[in-house]
Amino acid sequence: MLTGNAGKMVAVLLFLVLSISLASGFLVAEHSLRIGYDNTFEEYNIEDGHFELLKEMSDPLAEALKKEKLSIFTLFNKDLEIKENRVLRIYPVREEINRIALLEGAMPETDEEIVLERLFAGNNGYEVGSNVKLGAKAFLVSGIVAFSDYSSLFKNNADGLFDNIRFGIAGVNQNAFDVLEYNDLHYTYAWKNHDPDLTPEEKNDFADEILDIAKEHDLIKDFVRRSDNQAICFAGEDFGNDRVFMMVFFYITIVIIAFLYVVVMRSTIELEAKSVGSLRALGYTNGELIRHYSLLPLLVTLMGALIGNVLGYTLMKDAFIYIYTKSYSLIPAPVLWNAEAFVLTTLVPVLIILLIIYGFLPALLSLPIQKFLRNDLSRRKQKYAIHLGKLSFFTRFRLRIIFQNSSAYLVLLVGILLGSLLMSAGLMLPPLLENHQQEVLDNQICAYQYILRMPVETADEQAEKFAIQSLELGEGTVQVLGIEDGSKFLPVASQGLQTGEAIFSNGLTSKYEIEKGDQLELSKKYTDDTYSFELGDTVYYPAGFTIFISLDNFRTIFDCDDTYFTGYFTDHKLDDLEDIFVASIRTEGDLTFALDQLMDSMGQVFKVMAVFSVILFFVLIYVLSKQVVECNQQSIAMLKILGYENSEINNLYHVTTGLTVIFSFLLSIPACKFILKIIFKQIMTKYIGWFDFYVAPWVYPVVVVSGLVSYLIIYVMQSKRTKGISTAEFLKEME
Amino acid sequence: MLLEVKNIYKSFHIGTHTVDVLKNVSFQVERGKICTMLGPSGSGKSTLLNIIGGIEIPDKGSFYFNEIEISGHNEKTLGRYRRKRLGYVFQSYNLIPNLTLKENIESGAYLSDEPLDINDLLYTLGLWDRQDQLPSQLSGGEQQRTAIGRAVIKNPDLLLCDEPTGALDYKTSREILALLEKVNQKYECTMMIVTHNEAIQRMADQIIRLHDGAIRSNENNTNKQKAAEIAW
Repeated sequence: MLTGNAGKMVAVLLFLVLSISLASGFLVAEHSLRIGYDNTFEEYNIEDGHFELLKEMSDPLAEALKKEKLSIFTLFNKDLEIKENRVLRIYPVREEINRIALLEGAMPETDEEIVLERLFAGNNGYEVGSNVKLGAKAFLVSGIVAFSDYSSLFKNNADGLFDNIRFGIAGVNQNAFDVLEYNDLHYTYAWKNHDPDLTPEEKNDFADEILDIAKEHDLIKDFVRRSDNQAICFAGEDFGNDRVFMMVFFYITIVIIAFLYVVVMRSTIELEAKSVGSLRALGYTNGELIRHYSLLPLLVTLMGALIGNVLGYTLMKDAFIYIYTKSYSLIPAPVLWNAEAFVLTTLVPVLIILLIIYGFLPALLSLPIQKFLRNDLSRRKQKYAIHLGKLSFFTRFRLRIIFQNSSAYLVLLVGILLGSLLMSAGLMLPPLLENHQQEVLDNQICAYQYILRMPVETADEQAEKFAIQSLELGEGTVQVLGIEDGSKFLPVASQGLQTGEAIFSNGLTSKYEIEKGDQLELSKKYTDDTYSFELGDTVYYPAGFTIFISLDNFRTIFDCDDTYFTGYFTDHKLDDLEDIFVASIRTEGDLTFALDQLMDSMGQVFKVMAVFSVILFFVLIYVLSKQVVECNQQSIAMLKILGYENSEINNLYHVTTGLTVIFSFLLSIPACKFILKIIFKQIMTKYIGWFDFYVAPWVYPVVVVSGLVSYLIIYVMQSKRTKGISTAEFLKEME
Repeated sequence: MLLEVKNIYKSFHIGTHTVDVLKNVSFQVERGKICTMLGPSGSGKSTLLNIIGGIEIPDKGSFYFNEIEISGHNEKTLGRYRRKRLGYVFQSYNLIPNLTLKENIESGAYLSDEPLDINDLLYTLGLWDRQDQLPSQLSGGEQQRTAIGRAVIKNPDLLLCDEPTGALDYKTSREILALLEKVNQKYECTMMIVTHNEAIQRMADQIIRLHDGAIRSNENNTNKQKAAEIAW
């Protein structure tokens, strides 16, 4: 069996190795990182939460908290802009809470030394020995570290995405910290519950108590439970996110491989039907023949599982860890043996393959001996040819080839659908993000959004006032934007507001499926205040979840005075505003940065998906087109004897496979579009933001062209094979 | 003269051994005649037929078709020679299993610029009612008739038949021989029939006997019988 199927089996083996190693590597990496990540909570004494006060904690609050079963730790930090658009958050080196993992070099020993978080350092070209200037003072980078409370670099907990390029964390010793000039000093205090065994509900209730106590005594700027802290929890939540997706595709691939085996075994048995019949007539049992024909697929599967696991635990695991550590600032974790990964990527696939093989083989081999001796393995008693009318001879011939190899072509269709789905998903996301980015830019309100610390007037007449308030909706944040009547920056929204209703951004209505007249209830963080908005109309505003209301309405709803506003929309810089009054300026780069970041962190996954799909196309088309040629070797030899030229034979057999490939793509692309839309919507309902479904016009053509190029390469290989079929050998075999 | 074979030699290498299959074989066949080639197994008759069919290449010697030398040409030219000039019928029929009876015959018609009328041929072959059946639904005799139809439809100058009755029962064999005779007469097609059935020589115009790769005798049959009269 091996001699005739060596090429096909090697192709299947390689594909199996690739599939198992990818799945195994993914699970091992995910498991190791998760265990490592979970262990950091205890090992690095990660906080149960933190709050930020407007100034240092008052004695009454300190006294009140002392009475609770918790420990309070000071975690003051300063934000410094070290160069344009690069902010470092500096902490004194902490040894009690949220401890730091040293990855390279040494912790700061002098007042002139600093340690930098790994991702920020790497993304900005800093290494041990580099100099960092903080204000007027230069620091020497003594070490590269990971902060246990910043596995994802969220500057603010409300941010849509982490930012490990423009935002970093650093540690200096206490003396250096005390004298550091700063843009922003945060009076942050972390707490740690004395009882480590509290349930999540109990922890939450306890956090509510702490919040109440803090509010009672001091002014709170920020309050974040550990479970709400994106910098701590986001990475942990992301580890398992791709798992279902990955495993579904893995098992579909395994089923395709199992059916490839079935197609190969069936044709082998058909070619050897007379020998099988003779052996059975001699007294060989079905069991012995089943063992014989299943041996090779079994060996290939076991070999694939073995090599796949070895590669999974080595190369692929490293690749996936690299992908994760490119996004997250993780503390290195040892590779752990993962029994679940072994079961899911080895035992289950082997069982699936065996089930399909042993489901098929006994059914085929139990046919009567005469059928084998007559070389007729059809199950039906009488096999009628389908009437094909007056089509041309070549068309009928090709259709007959398709009918004859329908099972092989069906496997090809399913495989091409799966490959197209994977490749489309891999290719569509970068342009989707770029498209979204472009849409955000095209629909931005203005070039500069000034957020003020307090309402101050500008003499610049083109600047327009607005007010903004962040409210909570489930786990997401919605910005409520109060705009002036007849706003020149938001003409569409402002026109719609004349009715006094609220205008929702399209992402908000799409994600939460809100319709005109529906009420949306939002809450204010750290308070019991809730606000209800009725959808009057929708406006296309892709930058985020926003509700537009009139500025007057805003002041009424949020109980502000008649002159209240929080910032300006403007198309040029407002030079008359002093820096001290400006909290932030939102520009084009701020709008699109999150997308750049997302693109950067996920780019590798997209590439892996695209490459995997091309390999899937290649293996499938190779194995199945080879199968078709081998099945028809005698017919091809006979056509040669009759005088058919190689080009005509290619035209009949290989072009038929080619047409089936094209047909499969034609069916797959609309199916892909449909399935991707459903999957995408599911992903978006869980995602913190919203992207409109968009497939760049070139994506599907590229998918089809990749498949066709794979086919053309295989066409050349198979044409050579057809050319090599010897008529003389065929006639000798006939004798 | 349709065919002239001159001093053909052919040997095969099996492991370290060399087997001389044909040794200095020469003969001629006239247009429109039936020539049978007789001999025991291993005498080289099928190899000789394959050389004439452009499937095997002789080691030495040459053969001419319509006074044009065919031996020594490349595979492409030999393919064209088979396509335009020859029909082939085998003991094991070698039909394309996924094509219907009619489509199998059409696979021969496709190769010819002026094929015979397929409906007329189906009637001649007695296969009209079975034309939409697949080979697996046909009896051995019907399959062989289909194979003859496939070979004949392109109206070849020479029909090569390798043991055409070898796999058939007595009654069907006689029907096939009668059909070959009919084809020879109706379409004036020259035939070379390789067989080990001595009886078949009686319907031939020329009888060549091969033994151990060499021609033992080559004679004209002065006592030619009709196929229907042959029995064994």
